[in-house]
Amino acid sequence: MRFLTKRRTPYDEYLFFLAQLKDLIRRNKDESDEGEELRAKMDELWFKIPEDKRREINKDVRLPNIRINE
Amino acid sequence: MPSLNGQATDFSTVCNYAAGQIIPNVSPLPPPTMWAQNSRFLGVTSREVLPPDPLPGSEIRPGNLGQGGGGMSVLPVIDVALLPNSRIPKRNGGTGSNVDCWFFLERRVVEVATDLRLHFDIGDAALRISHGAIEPAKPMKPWIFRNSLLTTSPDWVCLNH
Repeated sequence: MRFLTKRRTPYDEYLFFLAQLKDLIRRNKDESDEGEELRAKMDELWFKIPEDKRREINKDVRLPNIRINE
Repeated sequence: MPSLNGQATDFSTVCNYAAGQIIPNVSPLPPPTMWAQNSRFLGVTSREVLPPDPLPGSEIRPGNLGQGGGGMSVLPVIDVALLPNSRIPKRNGGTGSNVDCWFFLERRVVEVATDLRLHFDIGDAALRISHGAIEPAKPMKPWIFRNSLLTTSPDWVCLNH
């Protein structure tokens, strides 16, 4: 018998950790060491995710408009 | 992470004193030790600039493709695809800490610093798609690089956002 396994992509892993982080946020526990450890793991994955997926994850983000001396 | 008079503070505290786009007298927090514990400080973690198991007395060096090295991550423009969602504060729609602030540094500050250089490792600044790092300009002891980064502290501008 042969088994096929699907390797988890960085995007899958990021979403997995993101769900955990959102759960901490819901419980007001994300500013803890646990939350920071989770964010550090997610940092390493971010640039391995394709750009279109990164934009999808950040679709609700509102960034500052920086135009200082530029 | 913001600091006021050298002490760690948070965005909600410092934004109470700001009426405009910029929050005055607020700097990025320097790490309390040689190495930053994470990417929220004005500094680098040892993992960002040293190979695993470095020899005692190792110097850190500018980033070279496939050879490690590197420095403090910066972005020349804010592009949503470049920022990890977990580092964008919750108040801005991300899942990052609401304690943290946005800091802006004029490029010339790094360009005139003799021990630092600005190096883009992804994309091209002119195309607005880059990621870069403030790195040691030449191989140097970690404490020298740390001090060089700290000299930029007064030049970072804290954004009220």
